Amino acid sequence: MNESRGAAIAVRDLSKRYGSTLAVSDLSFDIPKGSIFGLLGTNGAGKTTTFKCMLGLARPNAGSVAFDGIPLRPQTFEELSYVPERSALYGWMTGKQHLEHARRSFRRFDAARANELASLFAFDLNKKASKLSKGQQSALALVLAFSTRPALLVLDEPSAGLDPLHQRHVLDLMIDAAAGGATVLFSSHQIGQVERAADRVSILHQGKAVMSGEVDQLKASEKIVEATFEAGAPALNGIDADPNVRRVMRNGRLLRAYVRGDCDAVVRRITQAAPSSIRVIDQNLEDIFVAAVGASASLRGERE
Amino acid sequence: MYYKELIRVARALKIVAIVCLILDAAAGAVVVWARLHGSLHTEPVQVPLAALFALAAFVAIFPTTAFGTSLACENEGHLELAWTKPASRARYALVTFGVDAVGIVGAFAIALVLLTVVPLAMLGMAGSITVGSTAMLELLRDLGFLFAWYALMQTLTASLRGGAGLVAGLSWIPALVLAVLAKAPLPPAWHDVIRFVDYINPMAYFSNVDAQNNGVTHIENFLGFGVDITIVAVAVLAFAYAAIAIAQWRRLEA
Repeated sequence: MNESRGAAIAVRDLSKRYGSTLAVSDLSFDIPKGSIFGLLGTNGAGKTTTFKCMLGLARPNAGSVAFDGIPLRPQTFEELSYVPERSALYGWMTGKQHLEHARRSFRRFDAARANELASLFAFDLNKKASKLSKGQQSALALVLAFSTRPALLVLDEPSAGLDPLHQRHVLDLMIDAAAGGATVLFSSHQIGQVERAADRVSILHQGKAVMSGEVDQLKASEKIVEATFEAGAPALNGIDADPNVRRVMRNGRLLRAYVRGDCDAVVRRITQAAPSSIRVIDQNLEDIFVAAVGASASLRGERE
Repeated sequence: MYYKELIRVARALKIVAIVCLILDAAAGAVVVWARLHGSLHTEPVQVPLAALFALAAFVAIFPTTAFGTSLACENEGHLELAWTKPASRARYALVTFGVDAVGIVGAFAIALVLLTVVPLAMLGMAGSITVGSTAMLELLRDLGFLFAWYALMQTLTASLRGGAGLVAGLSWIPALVLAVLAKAPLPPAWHDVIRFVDYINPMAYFSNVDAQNNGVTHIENFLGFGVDITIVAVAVLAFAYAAIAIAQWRRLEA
């Protein structure tokens, strides 16, 4: 509770159901001011639904969301910019008209900043939005979002459709915004980008948060114990039952155990099987993601 | 917040003006041709301004129907942009309605000038327009009819995510049929039911030029109400339908 008091965004027990489908289930997280929070998940994991529920675009069935301790209200959007996953631009309006519309809608709109960003993404502001490519439409949405110098940024797949150079610009913009005190919440399928930009992540799978925490801590606590055997990797009965072991992969002579927390017991257990070599590797965020989602999926499968 | 709406309405009015000017040009060409062939005969009739209002209102129904789908247009993939502005949904809808109302008045004015006054002037009959003492009330009545029709369109389409144009376009048919049936010789029970339904049908309040008797043009709506009752009725319908439309739109999810 103490943590949520200082949080720029506090999500508590959020649930959203569409018919018989539970899109988001009991989701809770806090995002401290000035931090970058990455929401990871496979397609349909509930990332976009979470954003929509947070921003009042969809009505949650349960739970609450607070921005600086206050529930969402129209004035919140004076300080909050949202970039949706799919373009919500008006096809018949030009880029310039979109910027003018934003200028008249937001007191904080900075025209000079807008022009600077439009130059950065290098697209024609005189073109109608419908004539822009998908990447250019994403760029225009980002220009609109960052031009108000918001204190809160909610970005749903902000790099979708952008070329690698512009994807880099988006990351830099997020990092700069956070350095300037803004709080950023974003989702992405590009785990490398999340790893580079995010301080904290939450991994969603089938509407539930299967793992959350600071990226550095997660990486420090998640290890791979990799062992090579002379013959095929043995079965090592019981290793799967170890609560710290998320997943065990066997591939010919190679055995990999994805371990959370202390891995000494797992190393000892594998060493008893006399491998020709054994080593402990730090996991990257992609390994952690795959392990978390894979473990969650296999657990679900076992239950079913 | 109204900037986008202004551009949208200005674009629509430009189209209305272009269509009216094309019709004027065609009418002008016919008048010139008829004059050259000596086949243009005009009779000295008095044209009440109310008749011109009725004609202008009829023409303005087309853009009004289109304006009536403005909230539905937001539902087609733009709610994430519309609803993340620092304004409540009700305020957003009211701003949209306000700008659309300006557009409706604009379309009415364009139609009045370009499709009634200008053609009469071409025929040399501009002087035959008579302005009655109730002209202002008649103007209010016909604009009120347009606003009520607009609000009904919003009510029918505000919760749709596609096909709003089709719904708005097709709604003319039952609305007009019901309105016309109010004057049809039906059995009394049927007649009562139809009239009851027509009380909430804006089309039934459309002023139509009935007939000309002894050079006097009669203008009345399908329900036969006087101008003052009609103004009150269309005002009530406009506010009621607008309120229903906003309530529906606010309940949507993006």
